[in-house]
Amino acid sequence: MIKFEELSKRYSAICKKLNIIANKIKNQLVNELNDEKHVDTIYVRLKSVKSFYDKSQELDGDRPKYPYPFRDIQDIIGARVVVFYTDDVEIISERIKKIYDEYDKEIKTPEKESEFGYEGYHILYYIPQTFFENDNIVDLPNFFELQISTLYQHAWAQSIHGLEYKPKEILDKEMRKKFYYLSALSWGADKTLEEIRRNIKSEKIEKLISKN
Amino acid sequence: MKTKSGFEVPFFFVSSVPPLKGEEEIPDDQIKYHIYKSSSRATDYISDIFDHAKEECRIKIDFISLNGNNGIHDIIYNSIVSGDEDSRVKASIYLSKKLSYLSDERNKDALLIIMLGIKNDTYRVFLARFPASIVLANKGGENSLDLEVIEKAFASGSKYFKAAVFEDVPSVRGFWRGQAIDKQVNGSTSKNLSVYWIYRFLEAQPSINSYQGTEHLATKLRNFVRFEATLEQQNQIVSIIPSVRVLKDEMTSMNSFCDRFFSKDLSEKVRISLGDEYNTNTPFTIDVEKFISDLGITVYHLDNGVTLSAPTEDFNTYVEVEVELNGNVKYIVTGQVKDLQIQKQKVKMK
Repeated sequence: MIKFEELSKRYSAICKKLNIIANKIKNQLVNELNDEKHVDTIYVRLKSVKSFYDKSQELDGDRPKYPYPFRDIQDIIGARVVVFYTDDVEIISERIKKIYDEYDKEIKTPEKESEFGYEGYHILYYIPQTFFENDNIVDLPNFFELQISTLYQHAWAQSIHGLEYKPKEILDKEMRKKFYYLSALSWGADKTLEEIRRNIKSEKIEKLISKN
Repeated sequence: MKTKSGFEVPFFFVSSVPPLKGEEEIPDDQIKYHIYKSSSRATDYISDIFDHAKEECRIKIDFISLNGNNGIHDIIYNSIVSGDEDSRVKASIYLSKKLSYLSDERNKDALLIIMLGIKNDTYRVFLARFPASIVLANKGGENSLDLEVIEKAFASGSKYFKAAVFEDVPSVRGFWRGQAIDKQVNGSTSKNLSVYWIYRFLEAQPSINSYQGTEHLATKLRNFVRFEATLEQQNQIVSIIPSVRVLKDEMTSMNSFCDRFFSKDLSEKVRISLGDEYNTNTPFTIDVEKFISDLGITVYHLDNGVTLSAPTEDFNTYVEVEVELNGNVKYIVTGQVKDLQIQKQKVKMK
C-alpha cells in the first residue's frame, strides 16, 4: 500500500491544478444554476491529504480496496449541490447533464429498511477535456463526484461527519437508537416537506381552476 | 482467460513495435508477437489496466469519419470484434506495423497490446503501447516474441503508457466512440506524442460536448477582446456576432471557427490564446445562444447604420437608454474616445 510520504508528495504536486479545476467546476455550476430558486448552496471541495490517505488504506478483505489511489479514488474533487426539496434532485440533475458527461451514478440508500445512514444522489462526471489544457500529469483525476442532496440530507451528512464517526464503527444499542432516530428525523422531514409542498401546489391550482 | 471484472478474454496479443523512423515498412513475417492463452504476471498487470480502462482513459474520442468510413474503426469492428482468430492476428499485425512506422526518433522501443474482452453482450477492445527495452534480435524464433521480454517489461509495473478503449454491443453503428490516454513521464512533450497516438495512430479526435466547447471558445474570445485585442480586432470580433447564428446546430471547431470568421492575422492571434492543440481542433456543436451570452458583448444595430457595442456586464453603467415619444431610442454613452486624440465625456447617438 502507498506510504503517506509518497502520497502526500504526489498530492502536493497536483494540488495547484486540482484547485484550478475545482474552481472551474464551481463557477460553471454557480453560473448554470444561478436562476434555480430551490438551490441553497453549491460546494466544491478537494479531499484533504489525510482523508485521501485514510481512504487509500482501506481494505477489501485482505487486499487494498484502492491499489492505485490516484486512479481508483474518484472523489478527490467533490461537489455538492444542496436543494430544498427531494423533487428538485431530479430537476437539478437534468440541468447538470447538459454541462458534464456522465460516467456513472448511484443513489445511496441504507441497505436495509431498519438501518440508518446517508441517503443521496451521487454522480460521477468526466472532468471536461478543456479544463486540462496541455496538462498531462499522470496523477490528475479523470472524474469528479457530484452529490445532489436536500437540506436535511446535507444536515445529516455534515453533522455526522463532524462527529468523526465512521460507518463501520460498532456502536452500542443506545447509540444506535440515537442514530436511527436522527436519520429517521431527516428522512421524515424531507418526505413531510415534499408532501406539504405538493399539497400547497395542488391547492393553488384548484383555486385557480375554480376562479376561472 | 478471465479478468477480475468478469470479462472473458478470447484474444490477447502482444507485439514489439520498434520505431521505424519513417523508414520502409517491415514485412508481416518480421513482426514479433505473442498470443497469450493463459495468465502470467504480465497479463495480470495488463488485465488490471484493461478492467480500469474506462477510468484510466480520460480523453473521450471519436473516430474521424470520411464518408462514414475509418480504417482503424473498420479493423476494430470487422476484425478484432467480429473476426476469427486468424483475422484478429492479421489485423493486430497491421496495427503493429502502423504504430512502428509512425514512431520516430522521439519514441523508444515499445510493446503494443491488443486485447479483446467479452462480458454478456458487451465487447471491449483495449489497445495500449508500453515502453519496453526490446532487443530486436531477441531470442524468440521467426516472428515469435520472447516471453521473457514481455514479462520483464511489466515486472516493475510501468505507469506510463498510451491506451485506448472501445466498448460497445456489436452493431454496424457501434464502436465509433472510445476513450484514450497518454500517460507520460514528461508532460511537456505531451502535445506531439498525444497527437501521434490519437490522431495519427488511432485516426481519431478528442470529443468535447457542446456546453464545454462553446464556453471555452466564448470565454477565451472574451478575454482576448478585453485584454489583448486592438480596437480594430475588437471591432472584427464584435461584427461577427450577428453572423454566428448561422452556426446553429452545426459542428465546428475552435480552429475552423477562427478561419471562418476572422482575418488570417486575427485568426492566428486568437488561436494562440485558445491554447491546447487538442481542444482547438476538436469539433463540437456550438450553442449559439450560450456563445453570445458568454462572449459578454451586447451589440445593438440601429436602423441608421450605427452599431453600438459594450461589455454586457457594464452595459447599464455606461449606456443610458431613453425611449422618445416618436419611438426612437436614444442611447447616451459615457466614456472616453480611444482611437481619436480627443476626449469627450458624452457621445450621443440616435
